[in-house]
Amino acid sequence: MKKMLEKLNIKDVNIGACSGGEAWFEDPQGQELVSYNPATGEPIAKVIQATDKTYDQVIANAVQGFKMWRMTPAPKRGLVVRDLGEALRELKEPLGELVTLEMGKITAEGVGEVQEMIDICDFAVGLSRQLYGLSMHSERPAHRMFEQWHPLGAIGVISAFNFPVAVWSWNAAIAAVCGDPTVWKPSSDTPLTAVAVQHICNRVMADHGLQGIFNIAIGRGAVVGERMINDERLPLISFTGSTQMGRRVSEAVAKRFGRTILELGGNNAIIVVEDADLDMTVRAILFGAVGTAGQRCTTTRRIIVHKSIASELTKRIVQGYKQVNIGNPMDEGILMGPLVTKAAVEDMMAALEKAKEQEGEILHGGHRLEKLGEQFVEPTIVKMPAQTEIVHNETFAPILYLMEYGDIEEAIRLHNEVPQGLSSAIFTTNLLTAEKFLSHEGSDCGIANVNIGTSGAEIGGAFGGEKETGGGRESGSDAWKGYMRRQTNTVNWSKELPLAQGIKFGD
Amino acid sequence: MDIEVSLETPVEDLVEKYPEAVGFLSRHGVRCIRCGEPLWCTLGELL
Repeated sequence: MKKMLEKLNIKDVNIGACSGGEAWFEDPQGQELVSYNPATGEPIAKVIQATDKTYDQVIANAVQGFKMWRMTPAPKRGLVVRDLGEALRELKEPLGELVTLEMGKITAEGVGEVQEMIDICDFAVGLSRQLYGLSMHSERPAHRMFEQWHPLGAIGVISAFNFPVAVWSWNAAIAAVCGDPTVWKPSSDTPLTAVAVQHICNRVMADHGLQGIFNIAIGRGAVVGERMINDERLPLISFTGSTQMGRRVSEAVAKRFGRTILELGGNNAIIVVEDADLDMTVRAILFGAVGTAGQRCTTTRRIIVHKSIASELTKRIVQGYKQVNIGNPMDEGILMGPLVTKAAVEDMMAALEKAKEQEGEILHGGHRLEKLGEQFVEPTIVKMPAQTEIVHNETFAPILYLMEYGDIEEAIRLHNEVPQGLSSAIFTTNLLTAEKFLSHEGSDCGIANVNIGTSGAEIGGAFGGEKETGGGRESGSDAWKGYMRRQTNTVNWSKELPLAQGIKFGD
Repeated sequence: MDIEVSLETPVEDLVEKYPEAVGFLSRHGVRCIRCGEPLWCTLGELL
């Protein structure tokens, strides 16, 4: 562990406010934040959190950085992101291990998360030559109309513990080629991965003589988070977290007419049709529900299964759950690690009590695994007689609710009944049923899959959801447009001044 | 270090110092953490 931390420049005490290699900002007033290993409860290292003073220093550097960065041609900005991707390739293993150590997902997932960072950097490099605007035919003679996409400004990125580095990279790599610096407030549960990434960014910025393009301000939500969402110097806040916090962020940013990209709660379901390939379905459910210990935004939380195959599917899922090795996520062969905090364990147990009160029947799990450590739990399957209040709420833990349906209309109604709208899936071999699910009378989610589970999205598509999930889109496709401002231009190359709509004014 | 809990207590502090309070409060309809993270408000704002 010591070697891995050294490779990533993590010290016993680290500074939590930075704009570049020469710009680590210290304030004696800064409070210590201890990062713990969720598998053992042992402290890993400390971070001195940003204060009002050091936050302002970071923002000033980001604003200054924007003035220079927006004048750097986009393909040249892409070269910086290309080098960031190369630096991440070099440190993929240690950074992935740090993700595991600090957050608790298994090493394969931790390293996979860094691969996702590399993928988005590669995507962004190509994008740096494709920030296209449309051209339109003007209704006026000898006029040309077109649109341009201009950089927006310094962007605030507030990310969550469950993807401590990938979500930052979805934002930062795209924002960088768009001409926008980023100021990152990571989760207080995963500050060390952010410090490690900042060191990598500093190296890349130094190689290009840059400062203030990639910045961090680590601190409490009530301190740094509130400063960011109310800060007019940040025209866009990209927030990943709960619906409840998203509402607060949205209101604060809207008050100052800023923009938001919101990636909020999910309550993702898989509909299993009677003609589904059950072997494939069970594998997808296991990965979707148990992966990352049920702490993904896209975790499978609900199974809506046709009543004719409910018994068989349930039997197979329970068998699958029995095979899941739970333990230290750094160890080989482990499929599920701990929950991120003791509070998360409490939240899960309270949810299970409510599920039982609402006539849920626990078919597997439901207990703490104290022998392994305070933050280990059993992945749990609960059969629900109906989609009750607890099923409508997202509990960020490995709880899977099973419900039955009679016809596909009922399945889709149950599916869309919850307030969240992030990810969804159907397992069927019937083309008509699959198309119905993907149609405008089907899934109401931002992501809808056929014969693939709800989690494990690729970076090439736009990621995000509808309803209480917030409506934001990050990562691939044309999500880059959220990080730029659109300008519509009309050029008159005639010697006349015709007005639109044929209006005559004083002629 | 212990903290005195009042309506003005930041939820982030409460969750860090007394994680067991999360289960207790949740059973009484007050959820301090969502998506695995504490809310940024005070305890009073949740009630």
